[in-house]
Amino acid sequence: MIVGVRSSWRDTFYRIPAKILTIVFAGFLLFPNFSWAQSLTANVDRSTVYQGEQVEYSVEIQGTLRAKNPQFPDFNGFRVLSGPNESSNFQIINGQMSSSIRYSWILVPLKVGSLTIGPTTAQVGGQTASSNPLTMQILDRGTPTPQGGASSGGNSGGSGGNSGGGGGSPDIIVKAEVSKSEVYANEPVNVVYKLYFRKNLTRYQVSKLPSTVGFWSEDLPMPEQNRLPDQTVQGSQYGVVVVRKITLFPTNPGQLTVDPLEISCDVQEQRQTTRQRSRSIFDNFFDDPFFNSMQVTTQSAFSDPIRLKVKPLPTEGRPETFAGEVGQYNMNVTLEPKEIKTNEAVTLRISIRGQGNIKLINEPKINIPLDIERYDPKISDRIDKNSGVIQGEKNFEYLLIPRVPGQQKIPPVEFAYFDPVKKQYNTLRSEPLELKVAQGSGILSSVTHSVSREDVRWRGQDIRYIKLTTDNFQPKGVGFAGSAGFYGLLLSPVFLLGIGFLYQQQRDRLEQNIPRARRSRAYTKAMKAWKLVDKTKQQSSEIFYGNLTKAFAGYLADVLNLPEAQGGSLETMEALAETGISEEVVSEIRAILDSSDFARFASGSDSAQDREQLLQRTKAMIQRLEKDINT
Amino acid sequence: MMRGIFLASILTVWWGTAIGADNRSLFEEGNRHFQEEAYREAIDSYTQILNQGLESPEVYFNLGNAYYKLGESARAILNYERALKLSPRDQDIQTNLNLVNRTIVDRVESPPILFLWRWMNTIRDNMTANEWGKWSVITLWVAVAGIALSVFRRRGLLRQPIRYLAGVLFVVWVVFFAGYLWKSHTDRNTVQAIVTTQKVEVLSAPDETGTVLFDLHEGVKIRVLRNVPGWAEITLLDPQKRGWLPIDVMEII
Repeated sequence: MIVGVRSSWRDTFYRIPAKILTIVFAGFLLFPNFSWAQSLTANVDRSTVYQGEQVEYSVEIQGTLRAKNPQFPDFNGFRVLSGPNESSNFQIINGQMSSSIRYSWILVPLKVGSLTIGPTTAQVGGQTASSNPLTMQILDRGTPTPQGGASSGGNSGGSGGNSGGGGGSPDIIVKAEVSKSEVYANEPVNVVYKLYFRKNLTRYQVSKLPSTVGFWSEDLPMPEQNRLPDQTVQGSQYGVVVVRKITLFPTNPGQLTVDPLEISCDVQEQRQTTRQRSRSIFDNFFDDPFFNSMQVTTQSAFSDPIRLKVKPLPTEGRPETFAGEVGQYNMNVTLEPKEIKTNEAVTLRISIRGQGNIKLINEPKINIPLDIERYDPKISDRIDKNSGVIQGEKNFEYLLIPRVPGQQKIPPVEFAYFDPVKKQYNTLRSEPLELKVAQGSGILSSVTHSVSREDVRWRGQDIRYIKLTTDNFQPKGVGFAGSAGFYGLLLSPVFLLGIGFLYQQQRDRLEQNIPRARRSRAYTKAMKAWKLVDKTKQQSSEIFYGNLTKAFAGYLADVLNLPEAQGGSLETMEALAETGISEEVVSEIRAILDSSDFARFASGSDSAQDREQLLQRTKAMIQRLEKDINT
Repeated sequence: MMRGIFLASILTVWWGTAIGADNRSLFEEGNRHFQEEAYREAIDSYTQILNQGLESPEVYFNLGNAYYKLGESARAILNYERALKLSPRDQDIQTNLNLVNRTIVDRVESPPILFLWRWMNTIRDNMTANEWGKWSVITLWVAVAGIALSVFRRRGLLRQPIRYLAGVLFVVWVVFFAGYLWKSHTDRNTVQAIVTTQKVEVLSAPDETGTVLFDLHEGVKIRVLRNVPGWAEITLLDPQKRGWLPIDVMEII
């Protein structure tokens, strides 16, 4: 009973485990006492190959399903096309278990001569085991590597597939032809992959596409008739087929490499048992395919990697609006309709047409006035690859809605690109666009006004400008607040108010003490009365002396706190005597009052001089009394 | 004696106006340099005024603008803050300060505080201590005059309204005076500074060997809490962040 368990990860070579199974099985048959020693075995499928041919190198570790940190050789002198491909194998045969891991690589020798692949080491079951080193013989093909007569300039090359019958020429060759090897960034490069074959091909397919890191890649459509005229390479005639056409746009300057393309083919081969050369006619007859059994083998071949030198775009003469477009373009800008009412839509269409990376064309810069509302553009592109170059057009459609009536101007639309052929920048500029906006209908316009009124928008920011004038400079750190003057000003009104209150209180107290009040106001009152006396100096003696008597007697009444009417009476004289003033003064007072009374009624006997004299006497008396009488 | 005083006062007035005129021309010279985009020279002119112990918000403002144009954010912030201290309601200063503050590295946010407290702080800082003082003097005088009028005039048409007005003014005076006391107290007790070195490490102790707590960058506003020789304990707007800095990496506002 045979149970095979097979697992594989990256392995594309499905035939191999079956092979191993057979080998292992055969091993069991041949060596019944097969020891379970773990061992590493390295193998190559052919030990003598031509330069550029593929070789499979494999290492098998038996007795385990798991190898600890295997160390692989570094394959000096080879290019590793794939690997390590890991597969493991587990079997139970008649109750006997066996297991193995296999690592395999596909290598292409690069040098002619003897090449050695170092040993592989791995830790298996606690022990370190290593495989045998292998030495291979690499043969020169005898003639140089085919340089395609069809290649148009740039670097091209190819490496052959498995050479079937020797003779130095491989059965299949893959060549990559580039239109130029030195380009500007974003300049298109066409790459054509061609398959050269010597024998009948029943089928071919691209088994590994090159990765295009650093490029924007566009596949070009294949021509319907992809078979090219036969070519002679290295003396052999080859059929030529275009396998693939792509356009690459290198995105960044520098040295870029496009990985090889792998093609696998099914090649129909005659099983040739006879000698190949110096055949006889007889032999030739039997050499006919009819008589030979046909064998189909699968072969694969790689193109050489393509190296491109990508130059940066020149900085000299680069327009400010340049956004990275490279190619040859035209621009067409239309504004439809040109006359419109407010709040209706206008379409601004910018169409850029030409050759280049159409998909990567950026929106050209347009400055729509703020009064026109602008919506995000509808972007569409159309690319035509049929003519072998990438060309097409990209459309930007803006919907604009003017909100304010009037003649609106849209500045010219600018689009700058670099022309790699002329090696210079080019700026396309449209005509300035004009739009006539009429006032919309009434109902709408009332809406319009509320819509069109909008905040003033910021367009930039900067600091406010310096002050051009200044107040007087103050000494630093010295302020009005906290100074003595400040506290003085704060406290002084309080003091003033206090003083006012004291005064007020005094006055109120005086007003309540009538004799005191009368006394303190007596002089002021007398002075008021005196003015009246002065005024009436020229009038009749009755009025003048009447006023004089009234003023003086009133003063006396106030000072002595007597009723007004008793001003000149006997009680007055007694009260005067009580105040302790001298007899002379009292008699003088009486004399003044008497003479005034006398003159009042003896009309016509007085002179102006007499009146003046009496006035002086009275005045002097009042002043004297003011000093002498204190109550 | 009287003559001496008179002469001295004449001399003082003459000296004062002479200095004033001199500084005004320095200020104008600075402005001229600024207009000619000779910002270094403008800074020199403005600084000459300040070196005489004189100041005005406009000088600080223009100085801040000149530093801004030279890309020295920290110096610009420092001078705007100084200008704002003298003239807190100036929109130009506030605008420029906000603009420059957006360019600095550190984003320091004050912890959320009660809105009422925030309002009161805003009102307090809306006027300088001088202005609070000035208004408290004015309101007090008007209030006292009103009280005097209403008390001492026996009869009068407006006696009653004047009395009410005086009462209201007295309350207003209380507000202004309280504002003055609070503002001047705050001014005395808040020492703020701007970090003028590109990047500094805030340490846990006034010592080179202290643990590095956090980094501060040019232009950030800090508050100085106390000093030891060569070192200052500082805190950010967020009082949780607190530590020691060498004195020479900052400039007091």
